[in-house]
Amino acid sequence: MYLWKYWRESRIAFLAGLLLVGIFLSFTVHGHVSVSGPGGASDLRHPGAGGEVGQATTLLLLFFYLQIAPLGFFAWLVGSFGVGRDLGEGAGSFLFTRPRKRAVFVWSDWGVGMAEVMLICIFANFSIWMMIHRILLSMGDPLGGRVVFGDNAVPLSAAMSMSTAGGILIAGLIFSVTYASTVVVRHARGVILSIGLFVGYLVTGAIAHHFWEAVSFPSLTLHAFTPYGPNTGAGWEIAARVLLLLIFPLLAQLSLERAEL
Amino acid sequence: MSELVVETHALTKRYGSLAAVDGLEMRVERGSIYGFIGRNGAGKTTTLRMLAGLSKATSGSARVLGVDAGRDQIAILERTGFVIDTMLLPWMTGKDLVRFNSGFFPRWDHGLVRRYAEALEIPMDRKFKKLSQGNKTKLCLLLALAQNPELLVLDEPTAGLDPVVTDQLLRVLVEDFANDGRTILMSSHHLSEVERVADWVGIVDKGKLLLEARLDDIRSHYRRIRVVGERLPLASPEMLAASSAEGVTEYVVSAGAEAFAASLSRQGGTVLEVLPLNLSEIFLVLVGKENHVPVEVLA
Repeated sequence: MYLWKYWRESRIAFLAGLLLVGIFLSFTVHGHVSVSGPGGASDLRHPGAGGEVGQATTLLLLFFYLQIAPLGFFAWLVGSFGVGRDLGEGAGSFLFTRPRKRAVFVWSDWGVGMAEVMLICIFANFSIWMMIHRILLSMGDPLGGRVVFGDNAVPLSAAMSMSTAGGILIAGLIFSVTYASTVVVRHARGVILSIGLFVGYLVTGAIAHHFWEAVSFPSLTLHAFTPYGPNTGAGWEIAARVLLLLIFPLLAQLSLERAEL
Repeated sequence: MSELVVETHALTKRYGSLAAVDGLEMRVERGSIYGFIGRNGAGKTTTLRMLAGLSKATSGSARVLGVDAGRDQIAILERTGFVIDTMLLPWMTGKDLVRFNSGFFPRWDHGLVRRYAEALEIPMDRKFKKLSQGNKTKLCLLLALAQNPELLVLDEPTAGLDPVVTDQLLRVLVEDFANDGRTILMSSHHLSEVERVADWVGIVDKGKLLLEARLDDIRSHYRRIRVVGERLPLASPEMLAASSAEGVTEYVVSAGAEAFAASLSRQGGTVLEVLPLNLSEIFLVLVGKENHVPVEVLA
């Protein structure tokens, strides 16, 4: 029943997000596809046999980074719901006199929110997959459902899977940090703390790198691609980022268990 | 001896150097309506919050329905209806709140929801944040009652309510809930309401329980004795308070008023009157600023 509460809170944001991605998908499925010929002005990087397919790769890489903004905003919005918001609205006494451990509230919120974030990410990446697939088809699909990275032809499915994983991990991180922030601050205003944490990390990293070139903070986004294709050695990095995601709801749980109302 | 549903031993809650609850010893018998009364800041809410597991005791212990509070809190919450703050999830309607709440309690009674929603005239389709204070309180109480608890713990349930709503709520509590042999622990500083519904009272001040007694015992045994005389005793086991002004000494005793008055007469005092006390007078004697000297000082 508690899962239902979080769904009730976040469903408008989720359904709106789903609708926007759906509209985007309808364009990618039904829209007009126009492809320039080999060696044309829009053939950006990959001259030669797979040159025209290189445009699709460029689009894929562009999307990989562009998705961070809308997905991050959605994750940030969804992260503002749940126990932190309830505490800010003075409903903590009511909520915590329901016969459940406080950890259940945190992990239920986090689970439903994370599922929504994942679904939106998957759906958004699926839209781009459809778009690139149609572009490849309109080119006559010269590499048999593959895109090119350097001289390598890589299955589009592998590239999009990596893009989806990268999208989920960054959106999930934003969601987790925002959710934990609202719980720690005990108010939906924790979303501001969350923005501060991300901006602070990026600014501190930039300053540190400016003064000490050897210092480079870990990237917030997954190293999903190399010049030769999807980063096949990213397994450990993905595992580490998943663990990082889990740290924040754990922090929220510890904070909530110690909280006096 | 009756079974105790709430029992505290030296329960203490400190915020820095301030003791909000200071060695509280409270006993609530099963089937009673226990009025927990005190001034603002006396420690009532802090005590109830510790029973609900919302706040941790600095020291001491509390047992609710035979279970250690803070150790197996879930078992307590399953069997107890707590209304600590009259604030629910503000964006939910009454119906949403019923749906949300019913999933937590296996003994949830939808029949009671329908009955109280109708009897108390609660607009169940309206969002909680749009309800009047009276309706908010009534909805909180409805949710607590529908979970069919053995014990109902209410913190100032009638605060800010008009007399009609207050009367409705008290009727529901006494006639429907308590008449089933279930227990109510309610804090209040509205003494007339407590006197109307409670059969036990606990008076708390500065975190300490000053008095815990059956209301009937208070009515039948507690007396105010006014005496004129010199060198009168200023301490006795039954004496709650004594004060002296303009040659008249006034005693408040918890038992044996006639014997005490007789002993004062034997010591040269002239007993002017022996009067019964109501709860309000007892309360003022114990915690109010009535012109009296505390027993400890006299002793």
